[in-house]
Amino acid sequence: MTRFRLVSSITAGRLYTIGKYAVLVFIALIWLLPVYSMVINSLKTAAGVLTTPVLQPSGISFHALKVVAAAMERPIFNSFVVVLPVAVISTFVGGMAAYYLYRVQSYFNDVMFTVVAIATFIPYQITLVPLTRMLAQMGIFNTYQGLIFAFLIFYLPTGALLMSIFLAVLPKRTIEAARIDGAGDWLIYRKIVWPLVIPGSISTFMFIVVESWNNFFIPLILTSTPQMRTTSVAVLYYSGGFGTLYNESFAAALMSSILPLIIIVVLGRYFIKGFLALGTGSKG
Amino acid sequence: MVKIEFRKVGKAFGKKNRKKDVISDMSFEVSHGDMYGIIGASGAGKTTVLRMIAGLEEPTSGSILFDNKVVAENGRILVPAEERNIGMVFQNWALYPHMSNFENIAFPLRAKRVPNDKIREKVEYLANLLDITETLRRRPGLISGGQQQRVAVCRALSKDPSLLLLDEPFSNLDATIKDSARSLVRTVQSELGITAIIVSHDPADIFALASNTLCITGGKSGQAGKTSDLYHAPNSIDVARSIGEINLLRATVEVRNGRDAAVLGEENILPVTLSQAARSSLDSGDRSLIVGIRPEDIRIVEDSQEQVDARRWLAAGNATVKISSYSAGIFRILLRLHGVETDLATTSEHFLPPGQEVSMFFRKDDVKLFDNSGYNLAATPAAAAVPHQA
Repeated sequence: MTRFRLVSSITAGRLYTIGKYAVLVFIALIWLLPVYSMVINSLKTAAGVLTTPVLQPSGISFHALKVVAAAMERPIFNSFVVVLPVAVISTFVGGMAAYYLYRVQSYFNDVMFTVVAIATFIPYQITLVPLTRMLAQMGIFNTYQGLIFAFLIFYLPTGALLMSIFLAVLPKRTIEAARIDGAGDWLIYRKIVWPLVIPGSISTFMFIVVESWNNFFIPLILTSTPQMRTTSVAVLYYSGGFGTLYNESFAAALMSSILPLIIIVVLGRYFIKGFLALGTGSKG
Repeated sequence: MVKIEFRKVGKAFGKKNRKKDVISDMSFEVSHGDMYGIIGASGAGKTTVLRMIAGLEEPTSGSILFDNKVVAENGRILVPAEERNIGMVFQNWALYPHMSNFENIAFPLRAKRVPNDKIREKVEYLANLLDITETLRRRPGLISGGQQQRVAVCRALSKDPSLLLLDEPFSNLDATIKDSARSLVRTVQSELGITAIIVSHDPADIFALASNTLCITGGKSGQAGKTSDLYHAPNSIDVARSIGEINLLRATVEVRNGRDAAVLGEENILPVTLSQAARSSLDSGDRSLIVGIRPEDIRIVEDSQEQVDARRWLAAGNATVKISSYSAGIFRILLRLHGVETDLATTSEHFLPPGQEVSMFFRKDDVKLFDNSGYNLAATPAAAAVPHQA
């Protein structure tokens, strides 16, 4: 009798494990499906993409990728030129703002923090006309500086908001100790605060890179020539017009998502580390 | 070396309609080169006072002076923390976890842009003085608590501060290394001759280090003066309790055999001498008072035949031993005084079995009398102008 119970409990445990993994695999498949279809369709020929279903592979051809790569070279370069400074400045300068709001607590700073939080959630669309006019008046419409400036308006508050979440795990006593040691704010920020919130700043940096890389609306409005298009805008030109070459539009999508994918794969563990630091209240 | 002065300093936290006074009307002075103690129960406001000296908080009212120069007054900081040339040892040491111990100690010097060779020289000198040379290349997280404390002291001293602040620096240390840490701080302070202020709730720290002490009770200056004066002649029960252990007994003043006497319960009569002021204040009140006696001022006599010098000792009645415990070569005895049914703590050189009947004597000159509000009746009214915190 006891033997029978033991056996049945093992079977129940096994069934539970199998069921658990089945659910996990199912969820993973749903997540992987877009990447999968993007990869296999970008490897199809023009004929193949029209004759086979979306999820079914049909041979390997690098033709579409080659064609698109030549055309996407410039937009990808543009995206790099714009996105990297935006992410670096938003993280570092946003961190400075977060540090100041954290160190000096006053009514004014509480208001400032609220303003920053609101700025993070302003929809781009409503700023469209004033922003375009401002850039035109400043003479930086359709330039790298103009795009960087416009992105910073939206992502600097995001950086400040995210960094202030990560900064809160830093003990106030540490900053006070540095002040008593005779250090000014700039020295404290560089030598004490920054090294201690690196996991958090990597998370912030990654978030802003991915967000601004994928941002479609701002570069669409603020650029007017093909030479200035960023990746997200360039991808648009592979669908619509006189007819869509699906293999090329999938190839363009694949190219435009390579940088975010690489970043997630390479820095993903730091992204998680940054958020873990929040929970443990330590340096991560 | 610096002289510090508090002039009617008050500090409140919170917004306008929900203000909470933490410190009020506090005045005291710390002279050049002094090792000054600040003691008080937790929540009394000790750390707030220290943070105001450091420049981390501004006084809401009043002014703080360094060498007769105002550094902060009425809600404004005139000289910020980084310009006060202070070294501070925090309660949890607040070392920089990502830097080596060498860089921790060097940080104040780097902030001053001292050349590298000078920094190396200074850090090595201090590390040698405090015996942590071998830990310099490691990080604070990888060394013991006692070593971390010494790194914190080195960091506080590396820039040759004119003032050293210590905020409960020993509370995180094991009992076994507390004494060596205390003696280390004392040696360093006297060797370098700087003004130092130590905040602690532990009388052991204050007695070991501070020659002068301020006792804070309920956010006010309870008493300031020589540490031994605070112990032997406390202004109030709060001060007496903060700086050491004291037994308190309720009594009424009556005239027995033509003399004033404090009557404890039914049978224990303690002849006392009251000042004119004290007597008149008792006459107007309900004639009850509180007798305070420190554990070391109680003498236990087991043999009723033993002669006790009546000029120095007052018979306080008979008591039963409740329990004897042991600490550092001495037995701590809890006695129950007959007729009052109050427990009194004292010490004895040898073990006394629970249940044993003994006679109890109080050292005549060290019996303290407090009125019902907790002021010492022997103190002058001006010095005792501190309300008792219930």
